[in-house]
Amino acid sequence: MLTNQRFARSTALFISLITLSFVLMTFDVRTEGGGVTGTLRDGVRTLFDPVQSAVTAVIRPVADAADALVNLAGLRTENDRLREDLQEANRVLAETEGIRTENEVLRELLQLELPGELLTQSVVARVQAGGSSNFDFSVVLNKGADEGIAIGQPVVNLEGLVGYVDSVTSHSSTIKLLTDPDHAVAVRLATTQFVGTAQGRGSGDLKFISSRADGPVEEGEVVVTFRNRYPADLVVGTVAQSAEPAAGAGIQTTITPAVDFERLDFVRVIFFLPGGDDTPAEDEVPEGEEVP
Amino acid sequence: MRFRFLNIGLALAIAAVILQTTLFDRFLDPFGVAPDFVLLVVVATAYQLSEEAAMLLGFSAGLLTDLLGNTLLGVWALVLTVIGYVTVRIRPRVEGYGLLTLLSVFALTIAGELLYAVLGTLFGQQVFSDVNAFKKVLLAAVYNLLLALFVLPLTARLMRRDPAAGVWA
Repeated sequence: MLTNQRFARSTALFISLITLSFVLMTFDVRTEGGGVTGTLRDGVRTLFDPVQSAVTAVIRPVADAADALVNLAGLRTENDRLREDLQEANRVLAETEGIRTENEVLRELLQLELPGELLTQSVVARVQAGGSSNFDFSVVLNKGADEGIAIGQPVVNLEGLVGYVDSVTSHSSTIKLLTDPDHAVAVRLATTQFVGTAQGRGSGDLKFISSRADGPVEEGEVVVTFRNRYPADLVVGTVAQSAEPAAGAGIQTTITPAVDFERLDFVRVIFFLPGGDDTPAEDEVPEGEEVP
Repeated sequence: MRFRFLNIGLALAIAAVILQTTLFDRFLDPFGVAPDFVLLVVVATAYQLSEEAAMLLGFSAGLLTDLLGNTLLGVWALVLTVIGYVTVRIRPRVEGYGLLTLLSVFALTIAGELLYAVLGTLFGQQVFSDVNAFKKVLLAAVYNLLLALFVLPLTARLMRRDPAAGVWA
């Protein structure tokens, strides 16, 4: 009878302690370590801190010696580990080289020569996302309205024109790329001074049309922006194929974009909005390009 | 006299928690693994205590471990309560057999560590995310087995009482 009573008592205590433990765990999870449990922890730690410090001070020299003895047999393992660490360090060094190159690109981007006061009125941003499908010709930058970015502002990188800001949030912005078929830009051939439009084709070269061209264009001729949506003289690309003007139809050829859109990373958003003094009169704008 | 042995057990458990957080976790952790000294002391003292006293001792030692460590409050309390209870239950089967007693320490350490891992995981701690989780469980059990050679006789000597007089009797 006494044994049964003791068994019942110990079982009740066991269940109580287990339940109490679960209550403590649940409470600790719900209060995320704060509240009463946090206060309790702080109190106990405050109480035991001096004891732990004193014990550590006493045993540290002895423990160090004992630890060294225990690990004596493991020196070979330690050596192997150090070799692995060295390999890891070499790998990190290689990565550092990549970062250095990236840094140089950024430095160049910061010193990018832009017409007028554009350089000071701009911000460097980084591509944080691409388009949502194969037919989405846009990228998302990691900076937005909070950094002064607004819809319509041109985006360049070291190589040339990237596109323009299509939409913006406080901390990000979406850039419509030059390759977007919906995107046409007024351009000028740097040597011949022919004016025309460069239109995206989804990928690869841009389509160039100039109804006013009255002479041949040579492959490799540099193509820059004409003042309109973008500031003048931003590099767009080079003429991909030589072409002769057709009777009464001007010139039609292709332009190889200066920018490698597959490897976009750092870009500069220029705080330039169309409609300033540089905006050409309507009759100057090439066919297909609208004055915003 | 009623609580004398429990008090000795509690004092040993507190000392074990302090040693665990100072000596073993910081200095004596060969291969990056420390023995589970608190669990070992709970098992060693539970062999000398009654069922209720062993559970209370386990709960107290576990709670102190939780409070001084950075674990969820109550996990070690539960684990060591269970360990204390199981130790007393298996005591009649291993008492008098040195090797069996040592093996029970090994098995109880593994059981305790695994129970902790499971409970921790259930309550959102990433215990099993540790790539060395099983190595730690196994090595801690081995260390406890080796330490038990010294801790068990020491505890028995400190707490040896008249077998006819229970702690709660």
